[in-house]
Amino acid sequence: MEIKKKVDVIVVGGGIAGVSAAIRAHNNGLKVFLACKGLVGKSGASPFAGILGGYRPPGGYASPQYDWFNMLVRQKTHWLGDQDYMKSLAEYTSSQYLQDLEDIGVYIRRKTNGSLLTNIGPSLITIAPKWGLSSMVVMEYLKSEMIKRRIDFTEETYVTSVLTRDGQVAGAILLNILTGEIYSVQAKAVFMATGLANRLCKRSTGTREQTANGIAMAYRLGIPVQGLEMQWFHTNDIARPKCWQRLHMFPNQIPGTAEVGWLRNSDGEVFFTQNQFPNCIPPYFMQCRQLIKEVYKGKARKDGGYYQDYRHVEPDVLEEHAYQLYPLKKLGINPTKQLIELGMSWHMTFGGIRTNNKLETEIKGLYAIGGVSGTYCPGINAAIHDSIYIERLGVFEDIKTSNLLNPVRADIDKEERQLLKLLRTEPRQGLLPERIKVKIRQIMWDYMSYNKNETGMVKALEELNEVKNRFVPQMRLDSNTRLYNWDWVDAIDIEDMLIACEISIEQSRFRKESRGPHYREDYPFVDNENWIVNVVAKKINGDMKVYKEPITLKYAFPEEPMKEDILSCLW
Amino acid sequence: METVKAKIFRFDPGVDERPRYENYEVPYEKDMRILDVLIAIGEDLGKGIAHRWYCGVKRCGACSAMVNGKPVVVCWEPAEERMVIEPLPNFPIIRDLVIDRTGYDKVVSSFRKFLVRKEKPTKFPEDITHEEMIHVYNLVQCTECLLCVSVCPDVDIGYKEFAGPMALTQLAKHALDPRDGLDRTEEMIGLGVHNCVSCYACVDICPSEINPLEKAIYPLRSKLLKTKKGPEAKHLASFEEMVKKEGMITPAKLFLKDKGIAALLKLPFALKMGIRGKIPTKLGAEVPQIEEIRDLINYSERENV
Repeated sequence: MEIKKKVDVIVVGGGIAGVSAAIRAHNNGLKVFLACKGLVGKSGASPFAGILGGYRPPGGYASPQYDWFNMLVRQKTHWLGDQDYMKSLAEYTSSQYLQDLEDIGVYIRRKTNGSLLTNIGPSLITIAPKWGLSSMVVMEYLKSEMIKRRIDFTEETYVTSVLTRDGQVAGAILLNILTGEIYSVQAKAVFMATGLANRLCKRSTGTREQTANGIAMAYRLGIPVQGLEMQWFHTNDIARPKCWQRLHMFPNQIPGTAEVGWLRNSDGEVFFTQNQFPNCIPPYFMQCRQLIKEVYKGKARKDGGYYQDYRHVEPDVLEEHAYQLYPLKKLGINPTKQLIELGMSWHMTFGGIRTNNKLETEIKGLYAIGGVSGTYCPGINAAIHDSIYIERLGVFEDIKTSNLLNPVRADIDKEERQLLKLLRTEPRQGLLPERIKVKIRQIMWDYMSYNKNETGMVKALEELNEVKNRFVPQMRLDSNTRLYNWDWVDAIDIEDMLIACEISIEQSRFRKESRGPHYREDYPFVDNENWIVNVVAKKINGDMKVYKEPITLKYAFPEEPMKEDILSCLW
Repeated sequence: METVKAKIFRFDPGVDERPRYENYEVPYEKDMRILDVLIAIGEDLGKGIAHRWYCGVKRCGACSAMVNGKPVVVCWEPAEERMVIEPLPNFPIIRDLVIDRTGYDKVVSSFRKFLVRKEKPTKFPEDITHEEMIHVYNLVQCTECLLCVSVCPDVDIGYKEFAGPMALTQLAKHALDPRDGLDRTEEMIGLGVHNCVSCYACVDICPSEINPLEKAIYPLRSKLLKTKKGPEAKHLASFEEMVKKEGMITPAKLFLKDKGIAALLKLPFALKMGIRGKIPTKLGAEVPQIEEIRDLINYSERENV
């Protein structure tokens, strides 16, 4: 297998984080090669954020920063985030972020008088161009900035492993999905920017190709992974059709208004509105709590039986601004007159690859950028901020002065063999990998979809083990063609999915409390006395070890009661 | 509807001599999309058909195919009881339903597919109105799904004469952006904007209702005409001049105006026409309503209609 290129940095992932990092690395004089498993700007979580901005500073958006830092510490990361990192992110978000978007060409929607179209209420929400399409536009312009600079990038190319030598990055192995060609690229550094919306559950918001490859690659290299128990669930995704399960009925205030959608249970009772819980910004965790109470009462299910209600909102406003209501018309639903049935879905994972304060892992030259890192506060702002942050900390200079190492030939050969071993059509009684993925996602839906408990999680591990030992060894493809063989991609994905699922479950078991998006029926209390810690999983001598890593609170400290029932939390 | 019966095009150019069709049947679920059927064939029936999709919600533009003879975005359209599913027409096939986009990607990369601002904004938010951005606001929704290119009767192999509605939409996204500082005249000519035949096929098929013809191609043409460059420019300038002067078009005179000395090349043809009595002797005079006509032209130029 040939080494096709020699570069300074390989960026793995073509979303907001990866493309921003590629641009900034290039601007700093580094030779960059970006490989995206799907399509740049059209897959991953990046195209789907519907709104931009955050919180209205007092007196309007021109005044000094709103307390972004405290919001991130308390309501986004639930005390687990690194406070120095969050200080940087808060500073960026409240000063430069929206301007950076506008500079590259993202048109933030104006009113007819020329001022920004925002909502009316405690938080500043802007959109570009429609509520529901904002980050698709961000990605359009980021991608074009990459094209402008003639940065080398490829799509539908699967990075399957990072090559190292003596604890340092040497390159990566890539599979061209269109042609089936396997090749390697030599590099001094790898930016893992594979994102965080992984399709590990029956209902998931991730796009087709998102299967936790970045997390699994890091884990296999012996890098610790933290916080996968902090798994964010959406409540407001449409119940059907199946392939629209990431279509989100936003709970936030509608542009130009203080109006929000209301959640109603199967008896028609309203059980959540954003305006009911003004301190819960972002509202998503509160929504989950409110929903699960309805599920317990039998007035909703996790995959249906509850509804978003926009009937009280001005039809003109909905028509003008709400992109996601346009697909509803396709289903014959009129949101100004009818309710929209919803289901929960596995959304973004707040945790991820554990790094130092420079976003570098234990492998020199291997960085985790954006949502795949274990910072607990992902978002468009964080994805863009991360490359500015590492620039400030001298990461690009570090890469310039490091050496380009030769990958270990045996590693390359081993990876190629393992990939080719999966390109098999025997035994005939084996299952197509896609069918095994269905099993994995069903297990995660049954036991790991928001309301977790020890019995269920142990069962989940047993069933996943059965998948691993009984079905995976017999797994076979329909065809061993190399041409766009997505079944082969599925087969390669499965090991990564099993790793991410196992880490998620073991970390959820380990954290004997509830916190933010992590809810345990058997430990429903938030325990700030004992559990403001990172829960870490690491491969040691071939086994998964789960342990705590301490968190040092530096600037902000919890004032809430030290033990609080999460279902009663009002924040 | 209890089940969906799908007849699917299968072809692996590396292995098969010719394409074949295979029949599948899956249970129908409420609101099922065509993509759900394709996924069910894999997940439930265990058959690995090559098909491309990423987002499932009409954002990535990857899943286009031809279903029952019509190019559609398969994640967008509802499943029908009986479907014939084939690859999107007019593109090379990689395998089964997966088409090769690289040829078209080259065309779309042949112009500067990015914004170069006239000047960096000096403050946030910058001074811009929604009306000024109305083109971009619409065109930025193009997902590059290729349906319009697939149905366009005018694109040629290699896209040399006419690049098709999608490339022009992508160009217009920047060319019609008031913040863009580049001269895109050559790019418009290069993509053949003047060669569109206004058949409206792209308008009918666009799943994002962008209207490439009236919202991208026509505005680009207007822009191009104002520069007075490009193959159409001379012709349209002559046309406009004649209408202003005489209030009507005399084809022979227009031809002479347009071609100038090159008209001599057509002399044999003109003689043949003359013999058959097809050339009018009257070469133009003002029509009675000429003042009204001139008023209308001036008004439309003023109001930028």
